[in-house]
Amino acid sequence: MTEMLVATSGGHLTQLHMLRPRIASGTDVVWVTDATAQSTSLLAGERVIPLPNRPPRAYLGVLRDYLTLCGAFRRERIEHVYSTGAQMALSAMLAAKTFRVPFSYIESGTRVSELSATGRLLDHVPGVGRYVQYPFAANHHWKFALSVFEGFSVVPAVPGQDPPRVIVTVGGNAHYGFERLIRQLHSVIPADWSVLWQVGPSDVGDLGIQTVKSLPAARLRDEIAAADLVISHAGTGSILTALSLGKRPIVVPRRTAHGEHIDGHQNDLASYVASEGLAMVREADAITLEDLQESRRYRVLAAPESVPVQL
Amino acid sequence: MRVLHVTEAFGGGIQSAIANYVDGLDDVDHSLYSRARDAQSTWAWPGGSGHEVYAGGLVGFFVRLLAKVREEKPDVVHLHSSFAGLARALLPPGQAVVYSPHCYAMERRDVRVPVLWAFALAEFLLARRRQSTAAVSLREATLSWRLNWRTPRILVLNPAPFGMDHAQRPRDTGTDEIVMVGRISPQKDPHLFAEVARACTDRPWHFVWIGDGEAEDRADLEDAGVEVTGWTQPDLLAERLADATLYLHSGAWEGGPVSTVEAASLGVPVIARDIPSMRSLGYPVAGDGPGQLAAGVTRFFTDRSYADDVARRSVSVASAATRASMSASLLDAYTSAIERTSRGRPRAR
Repeated sequence: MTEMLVATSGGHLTQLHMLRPRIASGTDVVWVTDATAQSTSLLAGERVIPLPNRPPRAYLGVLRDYLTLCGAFRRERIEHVYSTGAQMALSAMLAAKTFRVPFSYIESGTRVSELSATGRLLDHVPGVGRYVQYPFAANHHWKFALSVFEGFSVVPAVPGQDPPRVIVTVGGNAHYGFERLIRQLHSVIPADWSVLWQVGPSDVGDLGIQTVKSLPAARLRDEIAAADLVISHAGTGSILTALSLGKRPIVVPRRTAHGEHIDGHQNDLASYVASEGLAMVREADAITLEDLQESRRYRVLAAPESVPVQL
Repeated sequence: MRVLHVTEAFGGGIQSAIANYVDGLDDVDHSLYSRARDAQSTWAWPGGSGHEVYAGGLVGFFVRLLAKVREEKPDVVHLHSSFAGLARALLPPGQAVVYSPHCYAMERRDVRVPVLWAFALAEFLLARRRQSTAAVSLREATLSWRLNWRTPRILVLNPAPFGMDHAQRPRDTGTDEIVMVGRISPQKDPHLFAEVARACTDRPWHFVWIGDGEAEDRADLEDAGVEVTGWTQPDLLAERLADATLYLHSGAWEGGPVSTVEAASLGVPVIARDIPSMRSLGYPVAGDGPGQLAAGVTRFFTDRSYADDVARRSVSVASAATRASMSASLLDAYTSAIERTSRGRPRAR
């Protein structure tokens, strides 16, 4: 018996990879994703069926991918299909339906108070297991069973004596800059602190600091693991990476009023992680040196064992 | 930017929320149009801003609103709560509108199911026009999404009114007090609070209800041994809250209550009834019935690790609800509402 895990590379794949021990504990797993540096590194040694990463609403492409996955269903005995999206989930759902295999869709943790476009479509498909990652978002169509933010606990830590190493990350693939955050941090971080500035498309050339637009995921993980302090925009991937590496990040939501984002996703997620105590949340232009010092007094522990759930 | 706040019921939590919004965005030109509501005044309307009070009926209230919008041409009309929200059907399509439900009517638990469906249908129809929703909890944002997924939803949490340094304040009382703040009304479910107090009569705890309201329910509370203080001035309320050992919130439906975040920011641990909005705000919840809530209260006083967890989670909720976050979110809501209309950029003040 084989379990199929389907997710587009990036945040969707990161989340499904984190949830795997809880939903597909067996060793016989086949992944379906697109080939990127992240997916290649994350799924090294795993069986992978590659699909193209198609643009939104590429419905002909969805059908082509459906035919590809039908071939996989014929070759092996798939027992259950799980997906965290995005559009790739539609092809997998169609194939699962064709071969009468249970299909469970877990909405992305990025969607705190709403459904994605894929989720909205699947909302109308009968016989699909539908799950949200926040209990208050559940209703008669969508159940809550698990979340990528479960299993973390914050404990006190003793800050080191040396000037700290700080990682500032605003998401390497972001379409918008986050200059307010970079400029504020530049004004409050002491000169003798060591900082890795990962600034995306932010235009901060006038600050005279060494920045990097984007880092490979593996390199960024290494840097975060070795850091004393992580300051991040309120992106799901950035927050989860910090938490999984034992860091309680300072999280700063992008704001539409400042042209830093197109909607309030980041504000929703920032509010959630703050109310759970998993992060300190601040507005970009309100961060102080005291906030940075305070944040160093905590670290994050992950639960030693994952509790399996039946979807 | 010029914002006209509109509420049919100016009092209680809505008045507090509007006062916070005005304080939080001081470079916005705010004005207020309301009908008066008796006996619920809490914080004063900040001076220096225009406040027109309408004394007539509902029809006249909306007629005057339309005239006022034509005269003053605000960049944004901010409608507070369900009755004022009806104006979404009347205001011209080009007018930027932000709607704050302050708890959707279909969350009520004191009316029959057909009435709830009628409320939901009305909200669904009113959600068809272009607008932005300012939600006071993630639950409210979720409901807004279900009404119309195209409507921008911005989470504008009611802020903690006190700095977290108040949390260090030493307690003045020797008796453990369990408090609840609010109007004695079906929404706050005083009967449930009284039942919890009755279930704990053999315990050395003092139950206190800060607020006033319907006489029959007040008598029920007093019969259960609950001290009912009546309405108090904000500073006295803060003192009484700060002296409490536990805040027990019995509300049957809520948007994002101010009193609980007040308590949490004073360092008073909060246990809430398990309703979706309180859960979405991150409060520790202990069930929906008197037995479950009494068990939660008992556990708080007998299980140190549980008490620590309740205290930690309450502090986290207060930490999430900062005034800076509220101000930034509100500006996002106004900006998105303006962008949703064809009126273009806001005028410089």
